[in-house]
Amino acid sequence: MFTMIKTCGSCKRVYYYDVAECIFCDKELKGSSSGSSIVKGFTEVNVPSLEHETVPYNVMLLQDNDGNLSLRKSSESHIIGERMTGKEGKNERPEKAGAAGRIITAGIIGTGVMSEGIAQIFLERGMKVILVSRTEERLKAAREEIEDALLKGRTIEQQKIVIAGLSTTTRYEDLAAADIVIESIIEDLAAKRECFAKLSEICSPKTLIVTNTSSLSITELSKFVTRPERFAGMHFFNPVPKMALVEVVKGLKTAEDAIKEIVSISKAIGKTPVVLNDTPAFIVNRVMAAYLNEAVLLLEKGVASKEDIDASVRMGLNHPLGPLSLIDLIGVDVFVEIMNNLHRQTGEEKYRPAALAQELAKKGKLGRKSGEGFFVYAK
Amino acid sequence: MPGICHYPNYQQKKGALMYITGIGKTKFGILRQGLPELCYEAMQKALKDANASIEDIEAIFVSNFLAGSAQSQLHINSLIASLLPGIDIPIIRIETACASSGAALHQAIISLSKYKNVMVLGAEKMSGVGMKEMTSCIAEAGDRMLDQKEGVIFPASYALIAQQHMLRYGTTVDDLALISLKAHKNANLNELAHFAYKTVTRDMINNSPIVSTPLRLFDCSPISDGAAALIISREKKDGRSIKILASALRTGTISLAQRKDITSFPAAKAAAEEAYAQAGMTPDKIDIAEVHDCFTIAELVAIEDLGFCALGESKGWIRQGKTSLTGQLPINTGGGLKANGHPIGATGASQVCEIVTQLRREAGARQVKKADIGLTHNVGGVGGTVAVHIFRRE
Repeated sequence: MFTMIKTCGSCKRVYYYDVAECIFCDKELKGSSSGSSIVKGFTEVNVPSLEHETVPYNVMLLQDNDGNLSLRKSSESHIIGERMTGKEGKNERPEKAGAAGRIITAGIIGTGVMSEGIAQIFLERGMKVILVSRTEERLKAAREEIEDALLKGRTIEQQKIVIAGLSTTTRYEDLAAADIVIESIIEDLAAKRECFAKLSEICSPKTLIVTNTSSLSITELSKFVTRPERFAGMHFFNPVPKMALVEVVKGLKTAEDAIKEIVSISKAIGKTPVVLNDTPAFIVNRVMAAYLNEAVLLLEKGVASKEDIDASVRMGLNHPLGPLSLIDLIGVDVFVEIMNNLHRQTGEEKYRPAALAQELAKKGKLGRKSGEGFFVYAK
Repeated sequence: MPGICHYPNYQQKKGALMYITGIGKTKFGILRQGLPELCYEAMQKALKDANASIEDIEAIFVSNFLAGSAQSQLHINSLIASLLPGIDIPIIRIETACASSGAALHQAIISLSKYKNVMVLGAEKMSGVGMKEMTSCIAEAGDRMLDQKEGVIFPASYALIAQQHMLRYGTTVDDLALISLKAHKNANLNELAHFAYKTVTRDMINNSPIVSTPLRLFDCSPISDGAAALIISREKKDGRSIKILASALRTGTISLAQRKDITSFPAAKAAAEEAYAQAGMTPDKIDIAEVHDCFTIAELVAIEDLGFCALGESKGWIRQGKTSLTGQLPINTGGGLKANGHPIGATGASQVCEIVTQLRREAGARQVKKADIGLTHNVGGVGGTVAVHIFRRE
């Protein structure tokens, strides 16, 4: 997504690749530093392909001050003659990406796989990312993971340009000017309370504070921030760079403006947002929980073997993994916990975790991580 | 002196002649056969047409674009050898995206300094692969970073070209519809065409889904299977032999992003100029042409790049019907890529089959009255490769 333009000082030939010297003149090539470009043309593409599954999307034909063209994917529509301001003089990048029509700064709290994935997609769309964790070691490890992920399909030069948007810190104070802060730490109420209290103190009143929680109530969590109208759920799916969906969850006090901004940011980072009211487990996990539990209940009733239940879903619904294997992957204990939460929060019998799953969890048969769950795994 | 530096020494000898002595084309469309079977049928038909034996052929230039990506089949030249048990002649695969068989023909002609009779075989198997996968496979003809990563699939590239052409020259979507209508009308007279059976109306075109604004489904060539073979000979065989007057191949940048202007293909202009120089003629001497209309807009760009009219004036040609079967310069008489079909690696050879059929006066219901000199224009990608050939009836 980053166009590298190098120009020969002598013959003015333009190269679009990471080469050092002009093959005609042997002169060193200089990176082009045109400040801005205008939209010369655009098309709205309605045909999905493997790397661009979500349609429609726009492709813009941009022209810089030297007359050089570039092509750029954009989730927003544009008008001919619109001016795009460049960044850092290296690459002209549309600044229209963010909610407020500019490059946004995203604070991300946490250094798990999800946080890294979220950081990666913001960086890939030209955004700035401030990654926060308690320790320098974890930040260093996270940076390395992100660097590796960004190297896929890019040259080192191109990767460097993308990674330049990333900074890491152990100090919440550095998030003061962030446009949005995404909390993605462990699912622990006390830890989250501490995190949101600090953020409320430090962040500007304009900062959106969102949580990537999958199990806690947005309305409940909003009690820990001083501006609940600027607080919402922004639930990503694993692996973040691959999964198109973001659940944007409205708490009771979340303002419509805030939801609009989060939807716009989601689109700007190439995701497809869905907006929903706060409800236990949101949409995806709610449907998934009932479905997984149903598979265990069928097994309990002796309707079919565990292998055949999994095979039915794999081949009949084209899921890559059967439900029982999926529970083993998630962790039988985690599954039971999810069901217990849902059962408690909704009070509905249908969410009571199937006895067989509870029994496995009690026996320490937790799935892949313990070597045995519904199935046995070779160590 | 482009005609000399790009041509074999052999051409410089006075009286050196080259001919198409045989053509063979399978049905184009969604076909039952696999890639090897399609190749076999086209080769067999071309040999029968030339009244020749496979043992007369000294080399084969096989062109195919995406068997590697879509069929997990590479080493196509050896695959062709397997279809011809006991044959060990040189066989080479040529890949230049959608211009593959135009480029193969160019190579075959050059090889006539060494051989007497060679074959060009273009083939593609595109059906049976998911649409998303196929769209990505075709997108491999664009730059990995500049195009593919930015979602610039081929309909998007040509949509951008169409928009610029419209802004600059006043071309309209109605002009594009006229090209589509003409293509389908011609294909109805060509039993081997992908859409031979299908009657297409203005309403169908106008109501078809948008693929990439402003292009609709009927502005795009289809996903087709098919193969086409040509036998190229140093000597004239009989009255049905068609003389090759010119063969020019030029290349250009792979991405539109690497150009300053996208409403014309520099490689097409250069190839056309060189071909006219080799043939010793001007564009107005051409009676019929098969041009690379992978999208309707590409036909307009081709008419201009080939010098049939000035830049920006192709719309007038279409509006006045100059390119219809009975017009001043019938274009894509076989239905073009749009309606004859576009089995990528076979397209360039298929264009030659149509021109040869017309020049031989064997085109039946779609026969053009005055067809003595014909031209083919075969484009890879967005003008990254362009092959132009000129033929004459003797």
